[in-house]
Amino acid sequence: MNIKSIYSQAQDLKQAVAELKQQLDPAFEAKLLLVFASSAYDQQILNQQLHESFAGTAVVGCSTAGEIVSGHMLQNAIVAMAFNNQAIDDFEIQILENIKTEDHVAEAFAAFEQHFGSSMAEMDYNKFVGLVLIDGLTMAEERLMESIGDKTNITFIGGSAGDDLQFKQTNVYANGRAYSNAAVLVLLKPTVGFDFIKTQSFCESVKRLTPTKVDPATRTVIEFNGQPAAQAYAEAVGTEVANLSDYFMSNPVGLMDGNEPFVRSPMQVNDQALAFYCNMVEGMELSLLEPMDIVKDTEVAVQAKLAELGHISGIIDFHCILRTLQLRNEKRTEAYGRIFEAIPTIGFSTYGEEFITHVNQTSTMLVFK
Amino acid sequence: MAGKIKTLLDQIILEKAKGDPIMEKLTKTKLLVKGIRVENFTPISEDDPVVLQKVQQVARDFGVTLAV
Repeated sequence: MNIKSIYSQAQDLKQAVAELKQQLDPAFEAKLLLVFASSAYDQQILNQQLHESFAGTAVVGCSTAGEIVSGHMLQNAIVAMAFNNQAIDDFEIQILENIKTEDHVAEAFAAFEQHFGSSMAEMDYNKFVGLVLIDGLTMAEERLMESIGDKTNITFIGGSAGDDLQFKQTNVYANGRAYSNAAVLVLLKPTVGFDFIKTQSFCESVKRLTPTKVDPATRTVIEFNGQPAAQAYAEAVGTEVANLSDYFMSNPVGLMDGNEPFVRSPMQVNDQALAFYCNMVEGMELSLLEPMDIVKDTEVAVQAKLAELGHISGIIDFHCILRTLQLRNEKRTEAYGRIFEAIPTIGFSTYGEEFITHVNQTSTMLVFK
Repeated sequence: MAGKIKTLLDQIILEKAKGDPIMEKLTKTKLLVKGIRVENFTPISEDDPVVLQKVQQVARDFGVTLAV
């Protein structure tokens, strides 16, 4: 086994890090450790401790709003995935700071090019894959993902860091430090093959909503179909504006790419406008979505990928907090965790998921053969 | 005039994907999230100046030099 998932639920930080360390045989020789940790832990001390305890291993990660490990969905825990030389041939880590106002993707890509000796525009998307972890309170995800996508065909997959629904401070981790207003990019050259799962457990309805007036800075749709956005959305779901929040989780909107929705989830009614967790472009036709069973849909997606690949050695699951909240409400978190029981898996409940672009109410997963 | 938007989009996709069908699909998805649904444009689509400007901006963002 060259990819190993480990975790601790100890609330004492020192003990938690020690428990992680105990689960890794020194002979494993971890090259890279990907860590997702509850914001309940002191983030700077956690990173210092990880840096000291796993000397010689690069540590990256972020804070969460819930954690996932093979067989379980957790809260107030730390999960980690260790990769050795047989899993990862090479990697390079770059930290992008001040992402609320600045775009440093070009500098990060220049560093990747120098490290790997190949242009990011020409790099083989079958051999390289990127991880992207973003401070989840910056509202910078769309810009960052667009900048990445403009410059390379390499897939960058990841999520927005959480803070256990406090919405005060989220962190990304690298080099023994916790950063806010930042993103971490990791360009991986896996030794094993890899693939992706994107599943959102929604299907398209026949109802269409086209943003005709938006405020991108606040991710707000002011008008759908030339009408006040809240009213148009209420008519589409068949209710009154006063009741709209009851429909936000079950009926988001989707940008359809064939049968595949890129989900945009409503957050709140602001006067007659609708604020979302994701930006939209004026004139972009969207479909009202209908919910499907998250556990069943995800299980089908994972089993289909397993059948396609024949073997899965590891999964990293970037799982929307809205999906987690729904699973918690339905008391089905253990059923979701069991989907990954036989596969080394880690993940976290995100404040947004990244795959080609920024999406909501989705699980984006990096799957290693 | 008509058809220019499709011509430009075809150039962008060709340049980005270089004939690789997976990259063609990826490029179309990237265009979609920028608000351009490639399938909506045909050789008889009107040369809407607003859309043309948007497509030219996308080409610049992608680092693609358009021949037209």
